[in-house]
Amino acid sequence: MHVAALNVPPAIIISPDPDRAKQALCRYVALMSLLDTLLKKHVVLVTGKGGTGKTTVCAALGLAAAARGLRTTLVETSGATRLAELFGLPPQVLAVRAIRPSLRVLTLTSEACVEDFVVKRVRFRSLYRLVFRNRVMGPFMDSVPGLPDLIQLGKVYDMQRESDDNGDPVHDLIIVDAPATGHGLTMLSSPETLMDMTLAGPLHANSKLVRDLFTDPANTALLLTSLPEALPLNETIDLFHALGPKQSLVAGCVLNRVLEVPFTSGLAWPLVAKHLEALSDPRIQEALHWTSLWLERTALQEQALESLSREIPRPIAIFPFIMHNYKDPESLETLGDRLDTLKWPPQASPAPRWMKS
Amino acid sequence: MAAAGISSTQVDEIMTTVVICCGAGGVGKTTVSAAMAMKMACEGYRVAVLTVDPARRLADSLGLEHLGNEPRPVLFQQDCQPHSPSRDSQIDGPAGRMDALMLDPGSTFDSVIRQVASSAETRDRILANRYYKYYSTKMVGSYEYGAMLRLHALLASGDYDALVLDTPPTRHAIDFLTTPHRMARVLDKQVVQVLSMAGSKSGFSSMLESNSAVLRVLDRFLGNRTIQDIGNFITAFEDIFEPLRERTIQLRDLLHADDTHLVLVTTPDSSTHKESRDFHQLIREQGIPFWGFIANRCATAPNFSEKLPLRLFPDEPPQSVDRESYREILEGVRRAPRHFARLASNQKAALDLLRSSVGSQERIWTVPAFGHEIHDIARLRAMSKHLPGYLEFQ
Repeated sequence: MHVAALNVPPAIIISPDPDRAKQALCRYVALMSLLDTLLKKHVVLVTGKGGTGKTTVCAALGLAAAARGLRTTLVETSGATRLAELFGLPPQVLAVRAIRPSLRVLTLTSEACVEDFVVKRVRFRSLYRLVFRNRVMGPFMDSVPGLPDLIQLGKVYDMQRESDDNGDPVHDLIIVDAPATGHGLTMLSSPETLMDMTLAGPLHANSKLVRDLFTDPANTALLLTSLPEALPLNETIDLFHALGPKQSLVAGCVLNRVLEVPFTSGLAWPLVAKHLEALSDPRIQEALHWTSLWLERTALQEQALESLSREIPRPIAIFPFIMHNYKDPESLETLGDRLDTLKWPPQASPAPRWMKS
Repeated sequence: MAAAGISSTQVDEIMTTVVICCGAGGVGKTTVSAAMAMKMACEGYRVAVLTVDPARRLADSLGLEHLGNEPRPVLFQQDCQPHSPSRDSQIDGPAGRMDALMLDPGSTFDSVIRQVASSAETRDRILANRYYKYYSTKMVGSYEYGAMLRLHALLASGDYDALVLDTPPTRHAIDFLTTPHRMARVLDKQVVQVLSMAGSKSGFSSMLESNSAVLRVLDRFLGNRTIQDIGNFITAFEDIFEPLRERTIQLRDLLHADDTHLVLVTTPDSSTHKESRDFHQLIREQGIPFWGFIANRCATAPNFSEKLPLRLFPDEPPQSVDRESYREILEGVRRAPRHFARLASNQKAALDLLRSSVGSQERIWTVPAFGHEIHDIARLRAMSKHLPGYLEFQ
């Protein structure tokens, strides 16, 4: 039996060994349940090492959620505008902008969030500017440990409580493109840091509200992104361990940029390789060299995937390595295609044949 | 400044090359930094590599379980020329060596306090302060600040010909460059004055009287207890602010020094392109000496890119391989060169784009991709042969 013969996207076949490929298929099934899990939450925080595709994963998840009719908002923190740019919008801070039916994007900065927070409560913008944006308070606010992070989480907290004229929530699902691993963890623990520092007072009370919301697994999920290489993977695993009691927030991982395998009949490969090595055509010899290199890389990936699933007992979604640039406007549709290829959300795909037998 | 500091002129006199490796996460910055330091050590120079990354990546790369805040020698077989001829004539000292250290921001800041505090009493008061631990480990830019102070100390020791500094990912790397500026703002005398006034009870109430509207807003946001607490903390810090501020300015000078070279590590794929361009622009705006880009993991192109025709291959599968498997494997073999050719041509296009957007005068140094992970000394050494050495930075 060949896995390629199954009605499953080839991109998720990560091993030329049929037995291992079966395990990958199990993870594909897990991916379906991962999506279901994520869409039941109100806030999904996507974090991982820089360059592991947090932004791509946010976009993919956002498109999938919006396709299911959830009013979805993508949030970028600390002034990042990559998601907005991905969807062809110019950078703009603190403005909710539509990018698809049911899909919006918003860029936060801590300055804009402080202003938003204070003005809502004090109501005088000029007074806000007098107090917070002078040369004494501005730098001071920036330097209070965790405050810029807390303020941005606080904005997400406010957004979740917003409702329209009918009393329905304005944002069914908020997807936050969170800062990279180390700082992401700092951001997530910023409410506790501030609570610990302040002991009492309005900032303490607000920190507690934010903390309670972002540590409730029924409300909030963490999605970790990683790459199938040792260093990013170890960082993901370290992050998971460093989360401590917050591990319950982790809904799953996305392993990004996974190379497809050259073929799936891996067990026959040594025999075929030997057969072909006897030939004199230099082109065949070179082709064999590149095939070996390809297999070497996919073998490394397999090891990575194995260690990830051993260390983090959560569903793992596998995103294929694609030689496209998603950063230009035209390629947006490719991104959608990619989700379709992955069937994320899964269409009515028949159960893999091996599962039936 | 009375505290044990190094004046700018002293730093100027020490001829140590400083290479600062910046770049987005995942480009292999830590590996490149370590390999570059190893190359310089193999050339006969005394080198230390520092990482400021909170994740323990360098330790991974070097296969060491613990890296400390103090330089530790990295032991490896030197399969290389012990000295470059030009160095032999100048220095009789030992052959090149490589040290590695990972910055622990907490203890780095502690040692800074120990250095700059005017008395043991001040030092103890600060180190015991409840807020101090937050500031020392979580303050914006504390990693960067700590790294630069450490760099300063290593420079002053005169023990090294070159220092290679690894940095956190780009968002932080920009912080890294702007830290001296932001720290100088926070340590502004006026800020310190206002906040230390808030620290005393009478000061706080007199502030309330003098500008009650302002304080009421602040009070609503932070609470007066918090304002007072932070004020107290600032008061405790007051007498070290000035030395700290002076050091911050020295560090800003260090970034702009002639012996400092900024390297931007990147990969030849387009996902890192925008960050590279933005970063390059910032470096140019700040007038920081820029050495160039190191494009890591460049794919080697196969000699041909077309899918090989089926007729080149034997029709019959080898014994005990079924026809279907044979066909499928051949399909993969025939596609393999094209797969890598596409990878290489995509990368070439991305590098060309980078070259055209930053200008052809900028150096782009390419490093080949290895089929394996680089996490041990032998592989690091193999990679180091493809990196710029000491003389490239002179």
